[in-house]
Amino acid sequence: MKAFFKTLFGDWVNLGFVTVVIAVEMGLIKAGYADHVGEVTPLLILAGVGWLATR
Amino acid sequence: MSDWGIFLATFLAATVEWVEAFTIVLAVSLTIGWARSAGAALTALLVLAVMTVATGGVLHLGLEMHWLQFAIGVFLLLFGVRWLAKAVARQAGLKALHDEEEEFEETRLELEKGDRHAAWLIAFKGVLLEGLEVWLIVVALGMKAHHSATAAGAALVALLAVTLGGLLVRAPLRRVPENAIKFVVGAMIVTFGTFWTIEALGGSAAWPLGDLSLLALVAFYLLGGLAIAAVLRRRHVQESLRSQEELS
Repeated sequence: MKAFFKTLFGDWVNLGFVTVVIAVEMGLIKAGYADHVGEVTPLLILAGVGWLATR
Repeated sequence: MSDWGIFLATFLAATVEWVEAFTIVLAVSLTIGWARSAGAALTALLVLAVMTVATGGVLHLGLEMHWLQFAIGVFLLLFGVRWLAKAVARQAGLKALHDEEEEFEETRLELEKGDRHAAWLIAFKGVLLEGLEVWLIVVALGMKAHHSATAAGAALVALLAVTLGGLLVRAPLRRVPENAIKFVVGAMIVTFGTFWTIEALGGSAAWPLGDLSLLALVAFYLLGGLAIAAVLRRRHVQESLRSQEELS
């Protein structure tokens, strides 16, 4: 079961990072910056990938 | 999104996972024979097939399409970010490349300690756990645009290709460029996750270029990932040199 959940969600850091990404997407859209969410999110994700790669 | 995009992403991801599963089944077959080892693998594949059909049905129950799209996008991000980060780390030399020969030896050594029943379970669990990632991708990519048949077909073609290739060489498939595939698949899955979560939250207006944005996103994640890997590799080499100098 543990392996099943790890496959679905990864570890806590991975889960936390994706939660932040979703929160940023929601925040930008609610704040009326829907036009820019497609530019900000990929940059944020790529930065996160770089950080996660060093862990 | 095109059928080919879904087919390619699923095929590549499934190939990587089936190669790992094949290595385990091959190692187990040396202990309990091909027939029982293949039986364990087929049992696991049957469980995965039932899961795929059942999940497809459950996901459509009572969920509005844009929430379904959002949920699948989140899972794709969870999955893709992990794959891409791992591929970047391996490309940069921060993490050892996956070695099928080593995996084969480890499984074989583990089997020497156990009995025949344990060996069957190792093959079953190996195929099931590697197949879980394939299941996730097939369900996720096949759901959004009702491309289930394309995604499931791609996973099956990958399974056939890996099985035939493996049976022909009768050895772990170490020549498969696993990290390059993981890099491409990671970028594609993160792309779908980014696109779908934003489209579900902000509507189609969030992507003025429509499906063309998918191509731009894949290129961005691939080139960006390679650039990050190059920077990390340079830093890693410099740190190694510095620590060698300090020692000498």
